[in-house]
Amino acid sequence: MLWSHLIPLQVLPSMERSELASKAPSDTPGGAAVKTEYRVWNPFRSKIAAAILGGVDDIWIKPGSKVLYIGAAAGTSVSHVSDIVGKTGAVYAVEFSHRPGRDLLGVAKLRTNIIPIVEDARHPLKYRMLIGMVDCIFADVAQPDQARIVALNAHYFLKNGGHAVIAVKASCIDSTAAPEAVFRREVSKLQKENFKPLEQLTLEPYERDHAVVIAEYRPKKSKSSD
Amino acid sequence: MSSLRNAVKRIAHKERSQPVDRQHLGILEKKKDYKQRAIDYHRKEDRKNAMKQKASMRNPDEFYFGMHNSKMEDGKHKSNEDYRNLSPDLVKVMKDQDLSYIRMQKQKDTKKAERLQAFLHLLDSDGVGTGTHTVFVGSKKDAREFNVADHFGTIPEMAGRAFNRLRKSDIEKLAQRKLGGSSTSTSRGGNDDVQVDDSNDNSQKQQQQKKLTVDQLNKLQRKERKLAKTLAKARSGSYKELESRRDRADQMKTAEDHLVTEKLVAGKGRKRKVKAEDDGRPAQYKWRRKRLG
Repeated sequence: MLWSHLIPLQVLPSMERSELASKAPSDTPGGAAVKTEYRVWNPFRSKIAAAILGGVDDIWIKPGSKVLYIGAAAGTSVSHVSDIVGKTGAVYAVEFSHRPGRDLLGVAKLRTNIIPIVEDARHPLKYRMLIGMVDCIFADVAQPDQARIVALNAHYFLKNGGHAVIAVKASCIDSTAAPEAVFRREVSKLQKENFKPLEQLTLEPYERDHAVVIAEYRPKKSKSSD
Repeated sequence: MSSLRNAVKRIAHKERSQPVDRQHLGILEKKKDYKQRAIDYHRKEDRKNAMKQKASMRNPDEFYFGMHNSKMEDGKHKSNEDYRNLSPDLVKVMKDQDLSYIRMQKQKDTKKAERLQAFLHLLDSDGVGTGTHTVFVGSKKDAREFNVADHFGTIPEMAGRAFNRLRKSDIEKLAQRKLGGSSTSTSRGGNDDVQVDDSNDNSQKQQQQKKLTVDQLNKLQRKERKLAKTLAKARSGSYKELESRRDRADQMKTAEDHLVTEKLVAGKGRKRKVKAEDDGRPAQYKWRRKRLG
């Protein structure tokens, strides 16, 4: 999967770049031929890419949106999300361990729309001054109390009608139970925290016993609802 | 008559041997011994003469690839016999070099396979090994009346697939781009069957009211088909490359195992063979539990 790169060619030394695609002169406002650089997004490494290729209806991350990314690791997926949200959006990347946090800082230096937060996501009050209201939470933490972490962050930072995209690893939450049962339990935990689940997709050819759960937070009651 | 001749036996005449005082000179040569010696001598002479003739008729511009490694010293050809007299240390070094080379090739192939896999997502495999997609609806009534195409906002032909399931608005935009602007060559991964289906419906809704003839539509459809064919060919080539790189990496791994086993067997320690060589896998040995220092 390819997505156009936010940072131009000369700045980054070596990444997985594909051939430049050029726009015809008539398409661009200035009238000059513009070359857009595309970057490969590996679904075997990134859960969002695997979800998109798996056919999820909507990932709720669009240009201009504000995203809270919990479990950012070294920042490879975060850089792709930053490409999507563009210059007008923002990505708040939270990562607790120090070594990938260092790499995250390096990624954030080159991209102005990433705000790196090297803190424990279990205590959102510790970084409450850095984040405003966000449109979407993406969580890839692989912790047994994942639902609680997401709920806590959502209560503080997620807007009403915002969405949460959660990557659930069945073996991490409960290694003895069947994956289907684990996913169902996670969904019910989310429902108790004022989330309305929209869809759930297992990432089969790319990851084993993983699923992505997409839920809406405090959905706005529409007048013509049934 | 034969019967009478047989009455007196004919004496077999024996050969005369070397006299006792000349025993130090060897055996007494008879005609048959001489003949053997002469034939051997003349054979050698013939070979020598033939080589002399060839040397005199030599082409000064001749070239053979073996000349790269051999040398001429004082008009004499010096053959490269280094590979026959190698010290054990040198042999060890050369075997280590072989091992590093095999490891390098294995690493190269694994990395290339990894890079290929980054953008080869097995999307054409028609639902082989795909995940399950669960949609949560409000009530049991909604579950009964659930329509996949309506939920995703797409046409029924695309409802079955996960990859590139365009919404109706996207299909309209794509059709408008393709039929309205024929000068642009960039395409956003559209499908020829979709475009032909909707073109008639959406032509009224377009901003640019272009009346296209059936011929133009057919031409566009043929171009789309050609493009799809070349893309499919390139994609299958990439998948073949991925498979062959994986296979080669496995072969390199087997070769590495063989070399490592050889190295360990040539090393210290008393060992016994536990499993014979089987189906490409190297033999397995077990060493004595003893510190080798």
